[in-house]
Amino acid sequence: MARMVALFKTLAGKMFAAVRKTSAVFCAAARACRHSRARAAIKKRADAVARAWSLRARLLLFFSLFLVVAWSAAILSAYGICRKYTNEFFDTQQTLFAKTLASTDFSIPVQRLPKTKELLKGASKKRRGKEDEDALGFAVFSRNGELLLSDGENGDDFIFSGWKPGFAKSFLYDSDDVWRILWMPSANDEYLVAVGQDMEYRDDMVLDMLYKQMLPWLMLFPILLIGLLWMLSRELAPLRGVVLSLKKRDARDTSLLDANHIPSEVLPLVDALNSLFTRIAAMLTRERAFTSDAAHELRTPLAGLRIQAEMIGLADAGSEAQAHAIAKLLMGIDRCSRLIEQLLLLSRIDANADMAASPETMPVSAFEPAPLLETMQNDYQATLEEKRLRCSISGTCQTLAVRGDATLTGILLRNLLDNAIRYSPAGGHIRIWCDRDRLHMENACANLEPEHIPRLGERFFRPPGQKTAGSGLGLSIVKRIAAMQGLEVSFSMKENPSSKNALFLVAVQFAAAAETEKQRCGA
Amino acid sequence: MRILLIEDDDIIGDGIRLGLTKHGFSVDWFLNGIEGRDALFAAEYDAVVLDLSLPGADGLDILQDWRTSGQDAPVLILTARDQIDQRVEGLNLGADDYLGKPFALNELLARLRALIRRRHGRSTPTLVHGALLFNPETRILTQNGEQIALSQKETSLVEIFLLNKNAVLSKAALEEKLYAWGEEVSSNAIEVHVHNIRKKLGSAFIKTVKGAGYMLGDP
Repeated sequence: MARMVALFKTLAGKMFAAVRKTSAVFCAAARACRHSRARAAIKKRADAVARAWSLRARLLLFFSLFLVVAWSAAILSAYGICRKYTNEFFDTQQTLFAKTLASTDFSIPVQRLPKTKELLKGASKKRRGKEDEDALGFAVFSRNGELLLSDGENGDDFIFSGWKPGFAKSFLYDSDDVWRILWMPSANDEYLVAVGQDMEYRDDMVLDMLYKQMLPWLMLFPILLIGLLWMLSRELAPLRGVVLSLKKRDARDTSLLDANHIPSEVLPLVDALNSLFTRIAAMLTRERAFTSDAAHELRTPLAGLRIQAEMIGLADAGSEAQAHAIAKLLMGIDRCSRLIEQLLLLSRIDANADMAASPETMPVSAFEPAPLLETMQNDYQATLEEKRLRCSISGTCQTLAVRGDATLTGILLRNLLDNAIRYSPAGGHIRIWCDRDRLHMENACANLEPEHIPRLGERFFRPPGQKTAGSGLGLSIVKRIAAMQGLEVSFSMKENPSSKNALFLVAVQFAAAAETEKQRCGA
Repeated sequence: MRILLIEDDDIIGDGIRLGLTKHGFSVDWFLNGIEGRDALFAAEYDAVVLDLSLPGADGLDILQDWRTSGQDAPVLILTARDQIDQRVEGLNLGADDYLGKPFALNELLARLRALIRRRHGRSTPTLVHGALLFNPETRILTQNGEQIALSQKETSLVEIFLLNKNAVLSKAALEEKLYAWGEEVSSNAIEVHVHNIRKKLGSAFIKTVKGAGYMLGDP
């Protein structure tokens, strides 16, 4: 365990040196900007960088972390293996040497070994090889611990601690180094041979081997990171392209993003954006059409008002022509105010609709059509009489369930009745009846082309050939409210065999009261 | 001057018809696009006022129909749309001018007169015939600086003769130019008008071409 700590200390030392070098640069930069404002600016910039690069940076970081963890595991295992074999190797060497010594006759008193240089006289330094005094040392002790012979180096410092054969770790005289020493009795049991090796020598060798093995990896690491960075940049380029084109985009631009070369992971995002742009485009087109239509519908009655006002100016006071122009002017003003009311109502409903939740989540309120229809009938009494129209309400109209504001439902019915009264020929009959959760309204009207029926309820749409003045907003208000409240409104046309006029039918499908109760319980 | 008016809005149409009539034009007004289109083929008009948003047929389609079948009456289009495209398209399809709603009656009159003037190849508004001067805008006729009082129809008849110098105009053609459809015309109305004009401007002002009609006399 102590060895492991030492190993890590050494490794950490090497790494720390490298880190210190790099961090010195940053520290200098940090010192330069002690000022808190500058620090805040740097932090802001760093945050921005982290945001802008987050995906790439995080990938790089995690990759590096995994790599470091994997390396550490590999190094630990390599260290274990290296140590095992190094120990095996050196222990074998020590044993062999000790055996040789143990079988030597020490009767010739030689106190220490001569120097290599003396023995290899004449051999060049190169041929003498390299020697490390820590690599191996030996000493021969007598039974009572008297040093008989040593290598002349570290062997002199071996500490004799009794007749204990076998490997043992111990310090040397005047030294902190730990040596592994094999104590081996000689063949005649007269001497104790000690062959030792500095543990640090072994550790250094293991570490050196590991370091040499790691070096290519360490050198490759930056290359690996650069390669990864390049690959990530390359792979993320289409995404950056999308971001760039989104940044440069004009708010009114509704063109679609290029989905080519987009990786499949990002494609759903681009597809979703494109579908959003398509919806925005449709909305913008609708808005523009509405503004343009509204302008058109407002300018037309204004032109009428203006020309009739001019006619009043041109006509002689009190003349029939003046009375005629005044009548037309008043008619124009009435039309104008109705149109403005409808436009305001529609924009109010639109504003409401933008705020409101979807019909499913709106609270349910009770709506009683019968009394409302009675009131409306009274309101329109003058017009009904003027056009000699008959209006009848039949069937039992039960209380209906309406999602959201019931006053809006009232506006819906009012617009339907108004429409029926406007387009019914004089002397016609408007029939209103209920069956369970459905409300029907039927009136005679000029024959419409079948292809125009589905377009009824489009803003400003009026089937061609209308003699009655109108703006094409009444039914669109009906449709808008219906959509908001989750009601279903359907328009249809029926041949009327007894008349040249056709029958126009409107059906409003309400949510059934019983069903609503069930849903409430369910919720 | 006979004008064809195609306008579906009854208030605007009524105003234009009355306003133009008051200023010496005879106006045929159609609320329906198809009927209005066919009217140009049935009678001769000096100018057309065409609203672009019509029930039954699009104003631009009508214009195209006319131009492809060789009808060259000057057309002024009325539009409430503010899109330039529609105006440009109208002009490209052969409209001679356009007016955006709402408009002043005076502007409509001025533009119509300019269109009719251009059609007769003139750039100045005043019509001159010897010592006779006629201003189509004020509808004042002067001879040697003296104002001559004529009825509205007589003034219009003088204007027609002044606009069609050197042309023989039949009684039927004059009736058509002078009266709108539905206006009551007595069988000798033109003769009565010509008689009155000759009485005031001299008998040489209008020449009778036997069996053909009338034409402007030498100045």
